[in-house]
Amino acid sequence: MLSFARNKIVGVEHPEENVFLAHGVLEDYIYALELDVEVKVPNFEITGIQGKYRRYTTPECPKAIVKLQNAVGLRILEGEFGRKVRRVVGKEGCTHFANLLIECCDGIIQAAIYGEWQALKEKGIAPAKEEYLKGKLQDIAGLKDSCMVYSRWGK
Amino acid sequence: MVRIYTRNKYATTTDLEDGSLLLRATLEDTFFAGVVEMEVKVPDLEIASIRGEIRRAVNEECQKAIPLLQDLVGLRIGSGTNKTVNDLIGSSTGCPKLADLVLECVDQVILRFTLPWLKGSQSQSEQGQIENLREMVRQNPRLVGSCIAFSKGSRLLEGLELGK
Amino acid sequence: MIIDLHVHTKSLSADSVLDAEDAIKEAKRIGLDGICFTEHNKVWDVEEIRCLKRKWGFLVINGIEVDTIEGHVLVFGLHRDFEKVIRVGKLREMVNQAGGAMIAAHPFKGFRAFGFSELSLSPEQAARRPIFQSVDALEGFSGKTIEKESLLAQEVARILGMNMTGGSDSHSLEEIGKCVTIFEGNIKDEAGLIEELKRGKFRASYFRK
Repeated sequence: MLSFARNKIVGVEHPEENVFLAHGVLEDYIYALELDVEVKVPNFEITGIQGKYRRYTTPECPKAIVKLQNAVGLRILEGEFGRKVRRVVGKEGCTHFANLLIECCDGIIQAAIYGEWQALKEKGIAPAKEEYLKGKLQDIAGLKDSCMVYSRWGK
Repeated sequence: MVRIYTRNKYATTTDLEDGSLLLRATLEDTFFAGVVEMEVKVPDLEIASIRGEIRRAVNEECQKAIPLLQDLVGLRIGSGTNKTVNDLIGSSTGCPKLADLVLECVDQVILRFTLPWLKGSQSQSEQGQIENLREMVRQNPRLVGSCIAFSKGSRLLEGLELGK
Repeated sequence: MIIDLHVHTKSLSADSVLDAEDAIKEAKRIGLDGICFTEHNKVWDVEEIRCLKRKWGFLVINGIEVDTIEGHVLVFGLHRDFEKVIRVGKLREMVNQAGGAMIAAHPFKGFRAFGFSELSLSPEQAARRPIFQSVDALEGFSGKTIEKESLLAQEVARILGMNMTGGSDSHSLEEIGKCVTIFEGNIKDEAGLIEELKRGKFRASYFRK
């Protein structure tokens, strides 16, 4: 029998050329929350955010909703993004909203990096995957040393 | 509007008969599918064993990160775990997605032991629940400042005397 | 001599807001005899520490807090940075070669919402942790542990017959001197500190109220 479980779901849309929208849900044995985040390129800056609780632990928790707005203006590709979110949304508000926000923003990054190749592939005009991804290393700062594969390609 | 990307992340904890915990974290998204499973000894919270699988990834080379998981055997979940996991598994010589799954397992341990405090107050009145939470803070003063519920101005901290 | 063996400054520890010179001034003000800068995985330049010591006429010692798989360790006598987490056994080899000393830092620092006592970790079980085989002392009084965590560390030290140190683990001014180590001998520099740590003639205590 499970003694604890947590489920997180994120969906990302790309309604306009320069806009990504992420919708995230976190459900576990203690908490249930939802988040909507808007990020605009080319800066990958958070331009809008909304959230709600379905289940929380203390009567003070709802005060954290307004603290979500501390994330507006943060740039999700900057090196210290996770730390900033944990401070201005987490410590000042709710650590679980901070957790879900990081999840949503990572989803947007994945969509931005790989989604374009997917779209080109569907049109039949995609370059080879490796060639496409090596190109992305030039476009997106911080990608270069982010993992073993990109570190090797970046040399 | 059509979704261009989807992510589903699921993490679970099972209490084993010998008292240790079996943790599993799974990620399935548009581009990646992987799982990490570990056994953690209680009460020391030491990682006794760990295994992982990358079932789908953008690059075949990503599989090379799997053996790195064994560097975590013997790690005690506690202060500095996030940094240790990211350093050993998630850095430029590893795979941040694998590190993330390990950290989901670590979060599971922490949440699993936080749950009893909260379950205990469920059947109480609002005042009873508040008192239960205040007692939780008295016993664990590190909660102070950790989020808005346990910060200056919160009802939960009003007039609360904390130990050392 | 009363020394805070565990202090982080913003010069080399990203999570600290403490200015090094402010730390020294505060240590002097509250009546300490010395302070150790034990930054996260980075060491000060030896000459910079000497300059601070001369400028303030106060004992300032260079140390480092190293992340190991088995836990955090304060190290004196090893002047190098650490890029990655290592095994405590490997660290012990390096420190032995350098003739230094190692202290297990806040060994039972718990979590926000629960501690190891809630998990029923007995002192006997806790004493079996491998880290204690590799260090010269353990931090029985830490500014960042709650009372029951400190009591567990102190009990483990008693079971193992290990010496205990005290350090504030301060990252801000008001935390300096919360816990200290009181040495019987006179310490003038890092070499002197290492000698006294190995001699074992010291005790740990809370200091700043």
